[in-house]
Amino acid sequence: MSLSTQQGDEDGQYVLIAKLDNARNMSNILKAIHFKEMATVFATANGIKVTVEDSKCIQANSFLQAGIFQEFILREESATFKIDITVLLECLNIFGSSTLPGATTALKMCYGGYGSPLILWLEEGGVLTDCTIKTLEPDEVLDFNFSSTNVINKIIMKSECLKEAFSELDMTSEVLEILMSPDKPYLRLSTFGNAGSTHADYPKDSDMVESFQCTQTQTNRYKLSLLKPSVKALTLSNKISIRTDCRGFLSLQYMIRNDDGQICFVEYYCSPDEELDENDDR
Amino acid sequence: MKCIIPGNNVRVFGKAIHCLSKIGEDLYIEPLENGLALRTVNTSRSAYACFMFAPTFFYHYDDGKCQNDTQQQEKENEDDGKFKCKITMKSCLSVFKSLPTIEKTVEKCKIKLNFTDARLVFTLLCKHGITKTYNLTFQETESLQAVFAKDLCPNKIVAQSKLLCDAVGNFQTSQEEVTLIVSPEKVCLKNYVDDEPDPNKVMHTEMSLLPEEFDDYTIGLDTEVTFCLKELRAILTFADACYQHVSIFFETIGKPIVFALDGESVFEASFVLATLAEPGSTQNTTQVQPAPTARRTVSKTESQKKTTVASKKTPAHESRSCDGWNDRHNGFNNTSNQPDRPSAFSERNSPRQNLKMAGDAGPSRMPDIVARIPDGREDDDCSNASSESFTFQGKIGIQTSGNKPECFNVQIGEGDTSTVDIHIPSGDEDEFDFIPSTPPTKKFKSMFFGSSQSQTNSSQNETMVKPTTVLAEDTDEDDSD
Amino acid sequence: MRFRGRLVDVACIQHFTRVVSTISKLAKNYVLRITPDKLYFILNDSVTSGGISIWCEMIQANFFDEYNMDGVSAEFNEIYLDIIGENIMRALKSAQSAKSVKVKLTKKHTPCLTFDVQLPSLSVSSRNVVHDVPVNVIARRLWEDYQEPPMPEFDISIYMPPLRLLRNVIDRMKNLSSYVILSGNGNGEMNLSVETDMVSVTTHFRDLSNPTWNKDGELEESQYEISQDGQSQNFVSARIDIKKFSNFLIGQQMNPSKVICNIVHNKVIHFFLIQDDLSLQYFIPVISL
Repeated sequence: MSLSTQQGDEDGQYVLIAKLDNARNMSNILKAIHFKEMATVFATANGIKVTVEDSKCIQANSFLQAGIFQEFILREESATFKIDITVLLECLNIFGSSTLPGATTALKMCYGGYGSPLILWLEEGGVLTDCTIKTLEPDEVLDFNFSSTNVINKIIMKSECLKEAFSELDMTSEVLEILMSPDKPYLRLSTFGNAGSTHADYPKDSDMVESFQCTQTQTNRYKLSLLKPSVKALTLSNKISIRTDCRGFLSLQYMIRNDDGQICFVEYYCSPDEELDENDDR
Repeated sequence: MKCIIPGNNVRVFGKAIHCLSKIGEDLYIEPLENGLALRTVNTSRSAYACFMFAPTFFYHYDDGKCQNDTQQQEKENEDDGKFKCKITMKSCLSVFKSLPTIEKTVEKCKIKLNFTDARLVFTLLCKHGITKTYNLTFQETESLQAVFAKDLCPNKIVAQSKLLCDAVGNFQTSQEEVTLIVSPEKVCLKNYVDDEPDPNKVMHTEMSLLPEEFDDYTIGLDTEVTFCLKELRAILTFADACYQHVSIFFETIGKPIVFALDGESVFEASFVLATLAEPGSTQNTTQVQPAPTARRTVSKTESQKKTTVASKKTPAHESRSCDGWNDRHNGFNNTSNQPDRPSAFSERNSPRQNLKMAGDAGPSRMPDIVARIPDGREDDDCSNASSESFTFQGKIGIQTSGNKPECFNVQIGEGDTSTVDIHIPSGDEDEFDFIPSTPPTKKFKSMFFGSSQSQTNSSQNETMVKPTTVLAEDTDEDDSD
Repeated sequence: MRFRGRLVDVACIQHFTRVVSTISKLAKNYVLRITPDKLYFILNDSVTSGGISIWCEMIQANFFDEYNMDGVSAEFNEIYLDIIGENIMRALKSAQSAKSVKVKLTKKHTPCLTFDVQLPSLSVSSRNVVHDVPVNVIARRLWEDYQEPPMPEFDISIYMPPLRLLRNVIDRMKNLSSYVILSGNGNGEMNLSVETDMVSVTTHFRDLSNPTWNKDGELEESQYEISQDGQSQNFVSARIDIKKFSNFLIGQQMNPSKVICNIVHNKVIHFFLIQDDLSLQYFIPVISL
């Protein structure tokens, strides 16, 4: 029984139908933002955006553009709902999360509109799994109002060099301080924990840095516990772009290449730690 | 102080830190003229470890005597000593957290004392121009040193680390203590089974090896010693990662066992573990010495030399050279017969005078390591410990005499004669986080502090020493067959 | 009472270890029954086992090179021992690259199963590790508690799909719920299903086959014939503890040739794992809603 033949007639009832030959192309992107249990799904003709937020300070978005799906049909202008992303990921990985070459899980995803559950059909090696996941009333998603025109500093670099730095961050530090500057040390990540302070410096001429556009020296602090989960996105991505705007808001954008060579983006927004704000002259 | 470690040695250094972190909670750092010493002792003071990195280990090694840094120099001159500090293992581990990453990316590691900000700074210079700086807080301290003499031990085994790893792998990871039983014919390792809960419900494991498996096997005294397996595993993990062979020096029940690693003259490591003061084996113990003065001497050959080395005045030969040990016909007694042997201890005659051997007194409850506080007069007889220093006496025979502590000397490095003593800065108990409220459940008494964990008094004559009247054999659990 | 056996072939030692490892994952303590031809691992369905029963029999000759035993008496030439799986596993862990392993019943402070492992070594002679595993000898009068459970009157009998496939799915389902509903029919179809407030997930396995059992409760090779009347399409199901089921799937490491699942609707599931020289039966009771 293959996905394409089943329930062809019933598809008419769905507002959203999406098919993927390789479910991993979706599950990996969602893993990159999985730091809370609930997520808001927002579907438009362009594709699907999934958002996770915490403490009104940090927001992560995954973009699955329509082009990565083998089939993408949306019968309304948009559809949005809240869903348990932990459960969604378990379902997408129902046949195991190992990355064996050749063993791919095919996915068909359907949503019947407001109040309906999200239905998944997954198939691998002739075995079929169907999942029905309850959807909830979507929450208002924050708008961080981050605009490219307000960007003060921007650095694009390869993700691999930041991976260990992020994985090994001293969690006894409340904050992660990010310094970006046209002068030395150019890019510095610092923590202030029980053992003392730690700095990781990345010079602008390092071969890991692809683009360096810093106009002003800025030092901002962010709650480490909120930013730490972004290491998942870092691990999956090839490149990262780090930007700060005049308010000290941080935008991290991750370029992830999937099994089929397609590029997807994940972004994290984080507002600076309040304590420091008080000292700013604004 | 400032030193720079080249990329390929950073891995070894990192592994040493990981090894030390499994033993103690604080890392004592002391730059000496002949190298950088990293030491630790466990909270119950029953295990001590010391890594010594020679100047050749580094690209650049400056123990602080350099003229350039005048401000630091002045401070150090004031103290009449070099910079010594301790940092928490946790903070040091944060620098060397991921060894595989370090191996791949670190090109150099700099360690520098930032005197003005009171930080010990570790800087990792990595590929791609990336720099990682760790400014660690430290506490100034006196040096932590242990006094022990491996060359006085009648028993010595040298084995490939792989052999020991295989042997130890037969015991479950939760096994806490293991008993090593030696005789000229064979070696056994057994899991040590506590009296409670129920020894009958516990699995017993015993491994036997033949002497041929070892690179060197000299048994001057049939014995069994019980010590902590967890620490041995940490030692072997390090040794195996660096393809070392391990030299083991020990004597008998209650006396410490020393594991030594030799990193081809760029570094050395010594680990001193206390051994249980009562027989742990359920088998017949072969070594117990009932008679205070007689000592059984069964060596691989038939050396029937005199029992005590106690009274000898001649220093032992260099522990580094294996010559004396290889000379199996004489066992360790040989040392006393060869006063003309070059000795690292020639300058240290005096401490040796008080040496006593296992047979000199009845078995006692405490392992014997003497902690000696260098009070500036290194050559002094350790029985002359001043009021600033105190000496812990291990068991053996000490109870009876009470004021004749044993002193062991160990040398670090080729021809090095500096005594490595357990140095407890006197009068400053706050510095030590011993745990007075948790008496040891086992019979491992502190090697350094004696029977009580609370070492509130620094008087040397204080008894950590409980008088004991028990003769070891009577407490033997009866053997099963 | 006497027991002495020796395994010399590395393949036999590893295979024996896998069997013990599988049983030890299913139950912490169990009974080893020693008879002249076979070894049995038994767990009876007591409250402490959560209603689980295990019956595993192995042909000793396929594992042991030497095997001698004397039971409690001539008439009852068997030995029953109460053992802790974890301990046996530790002993066998040493033996994975051994030259030979001797197992014998000994009396140290307490009755023990002693494993004497000869290991290869660098020198001419061997290294030797001896593990004394304490055991309890079970008295003759209690033996009737450890009899083979009868084959249940099942509603459905079906060959299971490859256990590793099941394992992947169950590993994920474990994160969603504590119970799983296993159902099967006479048409070679089996479903695994979990259901919570938030989600329901069902995995469908098709094209399996159904075994035939004869009147004596033995397996036959031909088609399952009993229900020809279209009822074979009906599913029979049982709701069981997912963790206990997951433990059973570890049996995949024994490379079974057949695994049969017999379901008594809403009562019990009986798994029958068959391999060349051994069989393992595992009974899981149903958890009612």
